[in-house]
Order: sequence, then C-alpha cells, then structure tokens
Amino acid sequence: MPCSISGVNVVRRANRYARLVRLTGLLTLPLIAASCSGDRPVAPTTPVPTPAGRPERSVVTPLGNFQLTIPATNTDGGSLPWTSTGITIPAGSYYRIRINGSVTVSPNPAHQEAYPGGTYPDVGTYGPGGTGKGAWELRVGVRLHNTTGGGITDVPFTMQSGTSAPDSARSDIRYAGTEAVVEAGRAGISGSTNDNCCNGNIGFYTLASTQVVSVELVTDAVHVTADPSAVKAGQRVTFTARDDNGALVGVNSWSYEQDPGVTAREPAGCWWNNPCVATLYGSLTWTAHTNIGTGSAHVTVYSDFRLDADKAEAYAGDTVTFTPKLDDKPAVALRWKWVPSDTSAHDGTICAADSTCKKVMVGSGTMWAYLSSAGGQGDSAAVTVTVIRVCITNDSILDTQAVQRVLRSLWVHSNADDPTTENRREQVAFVYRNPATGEYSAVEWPNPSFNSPCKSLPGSPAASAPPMSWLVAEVHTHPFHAFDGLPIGCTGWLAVGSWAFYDPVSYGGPSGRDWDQVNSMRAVDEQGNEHKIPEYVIDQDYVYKAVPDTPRSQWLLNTPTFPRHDSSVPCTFP
Amino acid sequence: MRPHSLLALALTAAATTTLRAQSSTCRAADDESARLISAAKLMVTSTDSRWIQARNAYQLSVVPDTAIALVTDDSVCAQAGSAYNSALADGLRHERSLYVVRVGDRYVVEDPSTDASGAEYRLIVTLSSAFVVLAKGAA
Repeated sequence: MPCSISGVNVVRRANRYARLVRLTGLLTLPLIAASCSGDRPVAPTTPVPTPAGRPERSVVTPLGNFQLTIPATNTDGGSLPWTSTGITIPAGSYYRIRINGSVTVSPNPAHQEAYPGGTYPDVGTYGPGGTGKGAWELRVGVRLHNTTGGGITDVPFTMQSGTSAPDSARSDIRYAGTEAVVEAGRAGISGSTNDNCCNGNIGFYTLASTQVVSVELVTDAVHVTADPSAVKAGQRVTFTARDDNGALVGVNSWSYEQDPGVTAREPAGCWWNNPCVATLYGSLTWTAHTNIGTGSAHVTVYSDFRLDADKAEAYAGDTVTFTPKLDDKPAVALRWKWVPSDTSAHDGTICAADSTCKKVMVGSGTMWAYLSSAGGQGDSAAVTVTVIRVCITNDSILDTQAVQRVLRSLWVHSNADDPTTENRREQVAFVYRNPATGEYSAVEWPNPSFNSPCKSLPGSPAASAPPMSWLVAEVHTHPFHAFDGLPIGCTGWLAVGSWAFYDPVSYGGPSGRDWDQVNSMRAVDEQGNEHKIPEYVIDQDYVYKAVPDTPRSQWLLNTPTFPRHDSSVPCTFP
Repeated sequence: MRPHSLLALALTAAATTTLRAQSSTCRAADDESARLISAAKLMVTSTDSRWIQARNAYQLSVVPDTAIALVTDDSVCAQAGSAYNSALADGLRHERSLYVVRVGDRYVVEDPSTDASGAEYRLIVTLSSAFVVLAKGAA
C-alpha cells in the first residue's frame, strides 16, 4: 500500500521479514516486521545531491569488530546470550553486518570418560548458520538496541547451516534511523547426559569459536544511471537504480531537483518503478530513495551536441582526446565508436561512458559519441581525425618513432610558422643510442637565453637524458623556408637596415658553420674514445644530414637530404 | 678640441677605412673556391627549381659555364672587399682575403672567415660590375 511522506510516494517492501525464530536455550531473535505506521527504518526522503564522479562501488567504512565467545562445553547449553558488542551505529546511517568464522564441536573428554560408548553426532565445524538441527543450534543472531527508547530491531541474515555451509554471512545494507548498539548472541547446542547420581550432568561436546561480528557503514550503495544522460526538451530518459552487483534495487520513491536557474516544465513522477521512464524538459538531478540509501543521476537537457577533438591532424602513436559538448559545455557520452577511414584496418577504440575518450592514433578515421547506451537511441556527434603519414627516409635514426616525436616537438618549439620571424627560434636536440639495445632516443636541449632565429647552442636537457657517452647525433633547426628573409634582429652583423636571405643551397643544406662544427665536434663513447657525430639540420623544406669528414666537393650535391613533405605519398617528416 | 681638428680626425679615419678596404686581396683557388664556383654554376645553369630560386635570390643571370671563373686580380678583389665591407656592420669592416667569383657581369663574393657575431651563417654577396651590392645570402 503506497503512502506519502513529504510529498514523495513511498512503498514499504519489507514484509517478507515478518516472522519469529526461536533459538535453543535462552534466546529469541525476532526479525523485522514492517508496515506504514510501524517503526521500521525508513530511508530519508529529502533529495540528496550526488557529487560528480560518484563511485560505482559502495563506500565502506569499518565501524568495529566483536569476537563472539563460547562456553567450553555445552553442559549448560553452550549458548552465548545477547551481548553488547560495544559497537554503536550512528543515527541516520546505512550499515551492513558480517559474521565470519566458525564454531568447532568436539567430543567432550569428560563425557567420554563418564559415559563410555557414547556417540557424538554433531561433531564438526559450523558457520554462523549453525548445525541446522533443533532450535537453530549454534546459529548466530545480531540485533540493534536503540540507545534511546530501548527499542530492539533484529538484523536478518540469509544463512545456510550444517558442516558444509559457508563460514560467513552478511546482512543486507540497512538503515538505522536512530542511534543503536549492536548486540550479538549465539544459540547453544543440545546433547548432555545426566545420571542423576554419580557423574551428574555432562554435555556431549567441547566448543571452540573463531567467530567475529563486523559492522561497517555503507554509503553510495545505490547507483543510478540515466539513459540517455542528455536529451533535448520533451525526450524520454530511463533511470535505473542498481546495487554494486548490478542488480535492480527496490525503490521506495524517486525525486528530482532541477538545476539552479532551470524553470522548465516539471516532469511527471515515477512512483516506485525501477527502471523509471520520465519525459524531461530541463536539466535536473534525479534521485532514487531505497532501503540501502539514495543514488542520483544528472541529465542535461540541451539544444546542441557536438564532439571536439584536440587535434584535427595527428601522427600515428599520438593520443587524441575527444570531448563531447552539450551547448559548449563538456558532457558525458554513454557510448563511443571509432570508424576507421580504411575499413579493412583493425583499428578500434574502447572508451567507457565518460566526458573524454583518449585514442592512440593508428590511422585516419571518425570518432562518434552517443548520448545513449542503446544503439539507435539518443543523439550522436562525430569528428574526423586525419593521421599524417610520416615519410620514410631510410635513415635509421630519422626513421625511429621515438626520435621523430622529439623532432616534431623540436620543430613546434622553433615557432617556424610564426609570421613574425623574430619569434622563431633555432632549437637543439641530441640523439642517443643505447649500446645494449641499439635503440635510438632523442632529447631536446632548450637554451632560451641564447637561441635566436639564427643561432643556437644546447642548453639543458628538457627531459631525463641518457648518458652523453650514448650520443650519436646532434639535431638543430633552421626555422625558415629557402630564401626567406632573415629577421634583422638576428643579422646584427649586417649594416644597419640591411638584411639577408636564408640560403640553404650554397653549402648543400647545412650552413658553412654547421660544417665547421660537424668536423670539429667530438663525442666520447663509454670506452673514452673520441669520435665525430653527424648533425641533422631541419628547415621548413628539408632535413639535411651533415656527415663528418665529407669532402667539401661533395657538400653541394651529396649531402643526404630528406624532403619534409612528399605530396605523392602523401607524407610529412618528422 | 677645435672643430677643424675634429674634421681632420674624421677624414683620417675615413682614409684609413678606405685604405684597409682597398687592401683586401683575392684568395687562391682551393676546395672552398671550388665549392663556391660549383654553387654559382648550379645557380645559373640548373633547371632544378631550388637552384633557379637561388639564382633569382642572388640576382644572377643564366650564363654559360665559361663565364664563371675565380677572380685572381687583387684590384678587383680590393673593390669587392670594399663593397663586401659596406654590407657589414661598422665594427666588422676590415681588410679581407676573399673568394670572388665572376658570374657573367656580376661577382659572387664570400669571405669564409666572416665573424658574424656568433650567428649560424656566412655572408655571400652578389655585386654588380660596378661593385654595388645586389643581394646578400646567409649560408
């Protein structure tokens, strides 16, 4: 029967627990009975805002443990009367109680001696469910004792019994409306002999227990999803409340709170249905109220959906970040799909429902983002990213991806496309070869206080650099096209007002001074041997390789030269 | 110091500069001059677009190979040195030993010892037959 609390429709759903269980000996553990007017714990009905990034797993906070003792024998029944664990559950908390460990039942030597020939049918080890015999023999019970008013609420467990039953049990997540102390007890086990004369009453068994009651507070146990998570005004959204295991949760009621400033038409309510389908007209947070807590999901009502990529062009191996946006604000896509331009390519990407999707690029293609997790539903947006093919040079250093990445960065840092040529900068990097693996790597050596559009020296490594004994090449940039005018600021050696153009042909690509340097610079290997290393020069059009000791007569026509762009492939380098 | 004394000092300085410029000499043929001549020949004979760009940048014309030669006449090199110096900042003007390559009716001039204040490049200039600077390349 539905009843209304604070304008929210609530249905009580816990009648299934309404029964009594009698335990052996001294204990009676009444389980919960509920009705609209009863004192059964009731979930709060005030909408609880859920922070962004709500965990998909419950948050569990241990509250305390209690060791369950046991009498040495069952001569007096062997039960543990209701005992305070000393663990207090705060008012307004969701909690869960676990019972771990077992009771070991063995023949009582005293009984064996006094009554030879006896049989001991219940010898064994039992979990919290006990033996399953008699009146819940050795079954553990837990209850809450309210600190004010003294009310008692039994905590139900689903337990198996017998020697093959699990040695643990746990309660559902429950709500404590008032502060309460946890009490625990255990039923005893029958079986004793009394000759009413000489030996008196002796229990069949000796008993030992490792059982512990643990109490934990549980929050964020309800996970509500909205599908789609964004809609246009007047579209329908399905809200589903699940627990940690993905199982549907019994919902007492749903509530909503429109976003600040939103004055859209109010949506119709959803009673206690789970899933709940609602037609929305404004952005809001939709909350499920359950016996194990509340959970919320936000839905954005929008007019424009688009997908942004942080790069329209990328290199293979680059990571591209895709960001869905609703009315220019970052949003969550519930589903993603990468469609490669080359449909024969095995190039896919799996992204979870999130506000971004990062893809390591393999080939060109189109990323699609969907606002619904179900195919054919909800809005979608797409963006295409073109993967730039890197030209093959057949130079072992230049064809190394790790080196290419650094050279790309070096070029970016050269500001070579800045129309204000004074802002361009020569930049320097070193290339290393790991002598153990043969792998090439490169590190930039920026020198902002010295480098200019027309000169450079290595400064300090921009990243952790390998040993200098691994040095195999130097790289620097000339951030100009052939015959571009050099900025006056870096040709101060010319007459005032005079300028010169960049000439990469008269020395075969590298400058005259580059050749001086490549023939004079020495690297020292791990054995302390000096050797010369080649120098790569990157300008807007080509990469040139100045090889030490190249005869001057060979500079013009035989300097290895690699085009930066080849429209016939098409490709670009680096 | 009186004004006429200042004028006399200025004239002396100018004469010294001229004298030093006039004392520039020709470098003898070697590997470096061969490279410069080869570059000049490619500029004026090649049909490759990059060399054509270079020809235009240096304001050279298409001429036969035979019109290209290393100049060994010190009087020509002295005038070329003076023109070359005029392209440079004041503090860098001094007597030089130059490669001067005649390319048709123009001269391509380079001083491989040019100290360009730590810059990357060496200066190559094109001079007219009247030793007027027509183009300056940084190579």
